[in-house]
Amino acid sequence: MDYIFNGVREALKIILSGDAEFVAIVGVSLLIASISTTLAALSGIPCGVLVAHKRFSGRDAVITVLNTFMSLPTVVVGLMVYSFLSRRGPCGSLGLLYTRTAMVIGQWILAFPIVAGLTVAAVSGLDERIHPTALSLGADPAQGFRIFLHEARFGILAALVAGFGRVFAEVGVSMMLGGNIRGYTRNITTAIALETSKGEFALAIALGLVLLSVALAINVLFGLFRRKSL
Amino acid sequence: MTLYALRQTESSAGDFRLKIDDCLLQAGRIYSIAGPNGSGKTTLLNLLAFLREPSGGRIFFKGNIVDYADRAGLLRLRRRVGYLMQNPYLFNMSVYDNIAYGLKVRAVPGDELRARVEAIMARLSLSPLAKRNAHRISGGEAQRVALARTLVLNAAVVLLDEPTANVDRASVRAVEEAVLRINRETNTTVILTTHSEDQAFRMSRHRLCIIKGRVSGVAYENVFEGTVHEASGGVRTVVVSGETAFTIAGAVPGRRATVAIDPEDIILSENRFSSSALNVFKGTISRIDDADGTVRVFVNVGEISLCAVLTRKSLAAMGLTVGRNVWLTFKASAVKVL
Amino acid sequence: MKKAFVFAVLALFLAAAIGARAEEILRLATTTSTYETGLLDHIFPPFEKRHNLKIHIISVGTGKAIKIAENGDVDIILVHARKAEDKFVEDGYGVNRRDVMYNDFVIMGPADDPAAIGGLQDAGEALQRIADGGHTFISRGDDSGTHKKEKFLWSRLERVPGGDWYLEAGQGMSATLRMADEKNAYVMVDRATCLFNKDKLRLRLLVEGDKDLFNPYGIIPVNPFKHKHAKYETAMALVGWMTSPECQRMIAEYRKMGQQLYHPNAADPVR
Repeated sequence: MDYIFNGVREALKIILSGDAEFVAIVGVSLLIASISTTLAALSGIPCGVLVAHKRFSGRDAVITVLNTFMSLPTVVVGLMVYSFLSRRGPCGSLGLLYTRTAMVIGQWILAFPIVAGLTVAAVSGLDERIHPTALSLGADPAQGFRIFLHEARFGILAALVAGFGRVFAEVGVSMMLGGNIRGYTRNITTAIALETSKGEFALAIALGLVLLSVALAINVLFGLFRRKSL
Repeated sequence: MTLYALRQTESSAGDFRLKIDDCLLQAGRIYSIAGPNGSGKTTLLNLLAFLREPSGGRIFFKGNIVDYADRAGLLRLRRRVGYLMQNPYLFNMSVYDNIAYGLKVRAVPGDELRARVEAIMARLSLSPLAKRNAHRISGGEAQRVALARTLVLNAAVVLLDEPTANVDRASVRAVEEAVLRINRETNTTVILTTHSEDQAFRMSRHRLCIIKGRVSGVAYENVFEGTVHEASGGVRTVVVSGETAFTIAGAVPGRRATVAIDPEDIILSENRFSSSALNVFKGTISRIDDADGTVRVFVNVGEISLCAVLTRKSLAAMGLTVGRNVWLTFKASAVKVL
Repeated sequence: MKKAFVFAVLALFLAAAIGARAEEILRLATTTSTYETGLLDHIFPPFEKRHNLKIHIISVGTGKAIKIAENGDVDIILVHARKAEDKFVEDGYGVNRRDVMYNDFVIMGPADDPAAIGGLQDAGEALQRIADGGHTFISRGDDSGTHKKEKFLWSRLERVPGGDWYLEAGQGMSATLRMADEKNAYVMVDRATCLFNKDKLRLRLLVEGDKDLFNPYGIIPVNPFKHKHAKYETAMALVGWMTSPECQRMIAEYRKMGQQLYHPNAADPVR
């Protein structure tokens, strides 16, 4: 037990002292996860509304694919993107591997199916009279789209929160595409991996506590939004 | 001025087909559309609201043909029509925001928007509900909100699909008043559908009738739907409700039929008299409507309401008043199967 | 709609911001064992400051480090696997290899030493005894420099290790060492990592000094003719730094727990 208590005590010291390296690591996590979730929102929400609203052949297939990608292991996604971004790969000339941009791309791919898939669910569950009602009141296509967003707002917020949660706590993509470079692409999860492999548990625990707190907050928010959407 | 002209217009949905050979709707009038459920009333309104493209024929609005390929033009037309759909959906926002939606979508400036929304809320007694979420009000209140959000648009034409369905008895009057007033004050064209013959007569002078997808300018009255029965002795009847059955002449294909009786063919009497007519019913007068010289007497027979016409002289001579019991008599051949 | 547009612009700006950097970046791949002792964080900053650039260190196993250098994803590598390094150069992926430093491997094991290898100076003999006795041995199992050295020793004994007693960790040096500690097993580890962790472990250093356990590190820039984008001149500048008397002195003076971890050898004649 001592071993664990010591670890936690040292961890709390690090958190409270505002250690520069610690803060930098947390910052990278927040920055990358926020940007990729934003990109997933901008692409996934319209996609979700479209799939939910329009009937087209292959719609069921699209929904199945989205659901499958939602639970892909992150290392698999990391590997797929890696093979594209490596110099040997088709997008190699962009030199994106081991950059923050690469991490954002990988995390965007992780978050997109979640945001799109949950948006489809949220919008599908809406009353089918919404769209004709909006049209009958004079809405143009853009306004018709926006009314979906408004009516499904809690479901969509839940989708965003879920997407953020997925990328904030993942390590496969961050490690493979970011390279865990100190001060640049080292985020909470890759730092934990490194510190635990070095046996430096205090910092790992400190980072883990931050991760847990964020995960807790995310789950509370998600539950709140889901309940309001039903 | 002719507002709408429908020429050879057709609209199909599944195996249902609406066919309109020729229909002109004049501006400034109130039209009521009668017809049983499933006859195509809502489809017709959807066409008039430019929400639906006809599968055949043409529609003219204010003399100009409607071009369904012109998206922007179609949107403009849609915005000139106020449409209260049947069983309307209110958005998940406050009552105020619901009513304001149509104006917001048309980018009406803030002050004007506020003034108009508050005015219509006052007129329909909705002001206390302004901040309430529209999903948390009663059915009757919701119907009034839906009507408010349609009327606030000050559109040139207002389409109402069963506007007083779900409305409590007390508010029916208020709703009818509001509709009549906007027609009176702003000359708005109103086209409404209703189940109630009474309401149709209270509100409009001009009737359209849709039976099984065919629109006719001829207003059928005393329209009922019922099941065909073959009684002993080869007598066929159509049971329209409870114990009320009309005896008909001739054969009818199928088990269900829609029938209409011309009010002129119904004879009113204080006492029962014997005749060759096979349809004899006792009922109570519910309303007497006197307009343009013809008197229409509405009689409740069981659960249905039949309408007969008299001259003013006959009315006075018989001294008929509301609440009096009378007998209705008409021949089997008077019952037209549609 | 407006809000979404603003958001999009903001996101793109941020994306550009996180991508763009003021200074030049040199990407170096190295091994986990090298990185985890903290040596590089000690000897790189003077170079970074002098040339106003940042060295991005990607620390993985030796095999992967060489692979990503072959792919051209980094500009220079620092590894310790002579045979693999020579092949890397022969195949044209790297140029201008220089010795930088060396440390050695040692064999650690349980304090009671059931295989009785303590004090031996012959690594091969030690491994033989461990295998014969079926005593638990944790291998890196990740094609790293350490692993390659271990495999080389086995091959010299003409033995292929396998069985319940031979466990392949597939992880970095510290993690493998810790696993051996948990299981009270034998393990081959580089001296730096051993010294670094000694006080936290119950394992004891049992075998050292065999020339075969010699562990040299080489620095190799990626061949610019193979990968046109590789930052060759900067990489060469780093080679210049690493083999300079000043840096070599820093390497010799690098201490952890009072012990010297690495021995500089850039001054030695090139072999």
